[in-house]
Amino acid sequence: MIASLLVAPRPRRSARRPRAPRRAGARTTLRVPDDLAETVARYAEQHRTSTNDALIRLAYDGAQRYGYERTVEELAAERRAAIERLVDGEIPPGVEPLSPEETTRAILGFRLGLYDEETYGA
Amino acid sequence: MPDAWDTSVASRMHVGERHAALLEAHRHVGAPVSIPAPTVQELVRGLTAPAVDRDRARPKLRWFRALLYHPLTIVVPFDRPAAELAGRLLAEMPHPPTRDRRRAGSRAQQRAAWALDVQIAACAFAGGYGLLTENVDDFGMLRDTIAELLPDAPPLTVSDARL
Repeated sequence: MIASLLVAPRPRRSARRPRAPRRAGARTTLRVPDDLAETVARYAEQHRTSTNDALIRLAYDGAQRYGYERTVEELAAERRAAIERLVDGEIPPGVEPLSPEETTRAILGFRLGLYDEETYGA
Repeated sequence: MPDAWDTSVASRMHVGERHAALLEAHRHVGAPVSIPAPTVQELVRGLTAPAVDRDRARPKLRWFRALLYHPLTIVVPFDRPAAELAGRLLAEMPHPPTRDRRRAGSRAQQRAAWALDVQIAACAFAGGYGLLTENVDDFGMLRDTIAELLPDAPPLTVSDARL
């Protein structure tokens, strides 16, 4: 029995899981929650890699998404602040505001093709 | 700077069309695809319009909806800052600057399309994106108008999707 085990053919290399790439960087120990561990295991199986490598790849995906969102959020905040700072000119003293009818007409002007057609010669 | 895709790009990102490879590249690396809300409106309207054979359009509609609900897809909202900016832009430029060179549509249709383009540009700007488009002339004018209106803000970038 033992002898037969000793001479049994070793599993072919192609059937083994490929080695994960060696990466530089600090080693760390972390606790992986069970639900995340299941996802990592599925990913590793699907991509034929180690669970360590799967965890790193998923972390890279998350980091890329985080970087994308952060870039967008920072730019959006700066632009939105600029929009909020938009101010109109001073209101001259004694000016008569638009009447209710004029206000409505101004607001519906684009929809109804009113005076912008005259102003811009459409 | 990440780009939002306008309708000229998003309408050509399904399988077999000229921007399908771009979408595939985003999927491959897990990069988000950002689509302004008015473009979503155009996509859905186009594929549900009575003039279209709905049975034949349904597979495409399903494909686009799956994309819209995909975790990597971001619909850039037409929210308060975008709406305010779009109003200012449309007041400055009520007509498309290249209207004489536009090929399709009546003048009224061009006006409607222009209003959507203004909203798309405003969404991209207020949302923190650049814009990827095949219509660089019109969006270039909008970029310049935004820069005049908001000289202190980081400018909108307009990239040519045909390159």
